[in-house]
Amino acid sequence: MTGAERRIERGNVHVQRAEPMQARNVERRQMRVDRVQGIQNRVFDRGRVNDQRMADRAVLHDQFRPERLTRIGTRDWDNRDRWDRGSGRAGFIDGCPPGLWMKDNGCLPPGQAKKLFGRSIGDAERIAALNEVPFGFRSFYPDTSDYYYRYGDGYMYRVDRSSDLISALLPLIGGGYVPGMAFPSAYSNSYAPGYTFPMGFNDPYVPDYYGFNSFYPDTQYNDYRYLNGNVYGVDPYSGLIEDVIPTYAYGYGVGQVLPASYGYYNVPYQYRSMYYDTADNNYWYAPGAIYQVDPSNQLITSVASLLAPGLSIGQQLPLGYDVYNVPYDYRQTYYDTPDAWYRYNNGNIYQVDPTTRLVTAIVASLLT
Amino acid sequence: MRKTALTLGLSAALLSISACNKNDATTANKTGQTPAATKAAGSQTIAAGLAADTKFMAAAKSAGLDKTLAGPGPYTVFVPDDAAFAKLPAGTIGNPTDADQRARITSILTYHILPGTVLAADIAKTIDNAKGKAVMMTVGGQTFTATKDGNDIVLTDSAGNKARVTKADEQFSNGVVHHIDAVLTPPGPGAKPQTDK
Repeated sequence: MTGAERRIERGNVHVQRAEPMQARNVERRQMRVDRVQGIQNRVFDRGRVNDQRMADRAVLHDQFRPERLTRIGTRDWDNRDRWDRGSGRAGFIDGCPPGLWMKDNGCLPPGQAKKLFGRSIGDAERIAALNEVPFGFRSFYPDTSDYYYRYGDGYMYRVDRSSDLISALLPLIGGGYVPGMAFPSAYSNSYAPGYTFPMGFNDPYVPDYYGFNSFYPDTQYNDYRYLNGNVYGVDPYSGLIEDVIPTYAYGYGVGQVLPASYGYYNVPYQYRSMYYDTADNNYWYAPGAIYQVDPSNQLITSVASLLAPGLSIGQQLPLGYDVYNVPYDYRQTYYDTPDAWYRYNNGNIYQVDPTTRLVTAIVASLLT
Repeated sequence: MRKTALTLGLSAALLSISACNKNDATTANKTGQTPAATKAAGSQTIAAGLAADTKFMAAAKSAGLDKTLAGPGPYTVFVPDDAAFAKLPAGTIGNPTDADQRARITSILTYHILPGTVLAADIAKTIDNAKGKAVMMTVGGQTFTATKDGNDIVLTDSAGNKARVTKADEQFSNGVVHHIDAVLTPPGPGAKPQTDK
């Protein structure tokens, strides 16, 4: 072999080595682009929600302004009760804390609804504004010869016909908004927006194991906290709750009304080709499920897809994912070997390193 | 001539769009899924394969999950037979028109569904690898354990109740069904039986 031949051969080896490197670089670049796009999309969605929320608030503020002024004008300035309640407490409106006065229910704080349990309906109506059951709920809360239902403040009250006592209190988890109602933003049964997130609850970050962090990362504008089956969006500066996102496994499901502030489309990207808004159905993602929503009355009509606690690349394989679960059609290609395991999760097949148990890559998507 | 062709083409396109819309409506009504999802799920789905008059499917319907099981999934569903539901203490599966009870039914059902396609052989293998006791993640976000008793697979919930797989690997286009002889109960706040009424 001459020197020149050897050089050519060496050159070939270099080219051969370089090719996979290039391919890998391209792949890596693509992944980076995808990631950046994902983040941008998410930020865009959230921006839209925030804009909507601010707009809602501004409209409500204007709507209530005349009423508020009238109330101030007709106020009994000698009423000691009112002043004892309100004096020295800046920010109180009409004797109610800012988060409650707008609810038009005599500023009934969320926890107070429970105190109406066991009281007579006449008593309760003096304390809280109770209404007819909204139309969309009637098939789920039918009047019977024993009971009828009243609705108010995010709760359904079951009234016993024989005694007129409230015999059951059914929380409509996540708020229970009905189109046309002037509720400013989401609230839950336990904590309402306008309430400061209780001390000591700064800790429950959205748990890693549930895969929520990938969908609800803390940003400059929102912190997300998890408590009792709900994810809470909290304003990091004021500590006020701005959003309550209940999870499916905790009973946020069919028959409930999607809160008005959840009117935007948020289905995870891998499911968007499958669940898109149509004239008949809208889709909404909340931890654990993609819901089908009737756009005419915002009622959740069914669960389109169940989503399991998610895997993400770089994460340790969570407890409970030891079992091989790849769908039939992919078993020929992705079977467990001593070097690589494959696991299905929320539309994707992930590769896992059996030694370190780290999720290393998404190798296939079933949905695209 | 060209203009006519264009008009024809346009009207044909419009026709096909309206035809699509009509299709959309009918399919969505039947399975509660979008046409894209129905296509991905295939014809023989879990929802179609399980008899609608079983207690499991009745409960699934009340929680809105019957339409989910007609979707693409794939899911692995452990279906307790009717006798298993009959064994439950009174009030465990309450009145589905009651929101609290519907939440409870939902949490019980999602505790019986795993993400992906898990065959009995896969469970058996995992049990062997994990020295006799495999932990399984459900779509409800909670886990139960699987062990072997001879050749049978036995599932144990958080409260220690056991269910035996009686008939394994019923395969469908969107997943697999295993029949079990008891209802598993999930841990957590959803797990309190109905007290009033």
